[in-house]
Amino acid sequence: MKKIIFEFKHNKKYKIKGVNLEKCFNNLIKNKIKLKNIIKNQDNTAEFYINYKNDKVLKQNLNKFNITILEEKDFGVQYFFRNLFFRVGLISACIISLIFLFISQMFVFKIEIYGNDKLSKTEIISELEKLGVNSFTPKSSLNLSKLESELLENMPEISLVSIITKGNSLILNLQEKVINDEYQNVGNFEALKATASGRIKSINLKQGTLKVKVGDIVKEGDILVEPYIIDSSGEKRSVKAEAEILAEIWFEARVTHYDSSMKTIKTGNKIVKDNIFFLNLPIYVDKKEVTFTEYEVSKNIINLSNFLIPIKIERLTYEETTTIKEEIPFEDVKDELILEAKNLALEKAKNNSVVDEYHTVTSNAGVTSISYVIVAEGDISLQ
Amino acid sequence: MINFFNELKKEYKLPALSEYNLVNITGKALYVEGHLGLMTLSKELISFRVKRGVIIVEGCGLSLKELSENTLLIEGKIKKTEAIT
Repeated sequence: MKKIIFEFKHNKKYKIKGVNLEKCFNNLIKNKIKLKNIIKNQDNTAEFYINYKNDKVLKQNLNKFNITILEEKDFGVQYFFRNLFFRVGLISACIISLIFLFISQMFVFKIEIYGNDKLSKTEIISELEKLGVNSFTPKSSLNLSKLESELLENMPEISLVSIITKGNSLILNLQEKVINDEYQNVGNFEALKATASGRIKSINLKQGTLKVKVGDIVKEGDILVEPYIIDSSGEKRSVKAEAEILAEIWFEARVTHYDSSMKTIKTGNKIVKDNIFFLNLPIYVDKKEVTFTEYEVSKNIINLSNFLIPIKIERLTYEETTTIKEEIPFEDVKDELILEAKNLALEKAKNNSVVDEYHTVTSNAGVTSISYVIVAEGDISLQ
Repeated sequence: MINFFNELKKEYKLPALSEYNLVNITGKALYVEGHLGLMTLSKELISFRVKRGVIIVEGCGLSLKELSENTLLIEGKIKKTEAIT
């Protein structure tokens, strides 16, 4: 029985149980299946060998005769090698995987950045790339302390950086520099200028060099505070000019009245001319003659077809006018003009608390001028 | 397994042999050609059909070394071989 194990061909040993095994064997040999080493025991079990190629047909026959398979075993040199190849394949796959894992551990695959707020990851990664570090960089080629110092040198926004490698990741922990607003735009500050004309009543300087004092009269646009300070060592240092400067501000409005004036009025006569255009080219021109000596012209364009057909009508309306001399004495409209000037001055002084108001009237050769002044109190240093 | 009797017939140009042929090899093996199917199989008795009868082989520790469509080889201690027609 054991001899068959050393046969070259791949054979299978079966142990089966059932009744009428002889009939089953006869059926198998009719199907050209060769059976070897058949031993039948008294308990209706039998053992035999067949070539593994006949395995499928054998099982179909055993099923047909209701015979149970108790044991199934493979033998033969072919089977041994086939099995060995499978095992060798498995072992090779494991070894290759281990080698791949080992090799992959030697490279950086991922760059993780922590602590960046103003700087973007892309900026930092591009800087690292400039320094020769990217994904797939061998870990052995990394000099972390050198990389840290180079990164600090190339990126002035970073105050502190720590770089470590963990697995396939390169981890950057960094701290950005905190820059005060005062120093952020050194040299780019502007002087604080007066937003309105007035007399300075109080000054609260916060930062910068003051150029005015209480009681000074300033015009709109005059410099109030310069954007620098002189420090204890005598050096001039740029700072943002900041101050709260309250002043008496004068808001003036002027209205002029002429005792006699020429006025143009419409007589009510008019001539209408319609010109028709297609694609901005005139296709009809109205040639009516305008006989008025003085007139006003108004133009109205009508699109005829809602842009589907580009036809439009240009309507010109000529209205006849005549000039008359009008005489209105100042005294008749004085109150109205003062009120008009006051409203204009108040419009200018809005957002300020009104302290006082007065007006002056000057007259010369039929021309009268009203100057209305609102005196208010407000911050002239607001920017 | 080679078809022994057919080879013999070809080699020595013998006349047609009977429907079945068997050879007992020193009572330890029995080679049969031309069987028509197994009837009984046990360690003590193996019987199979042949044309116009049945062959019964008695012995101990009997086993079928090989069983194919036309031939069979019985192995074991063969005590008696009987042909029933």
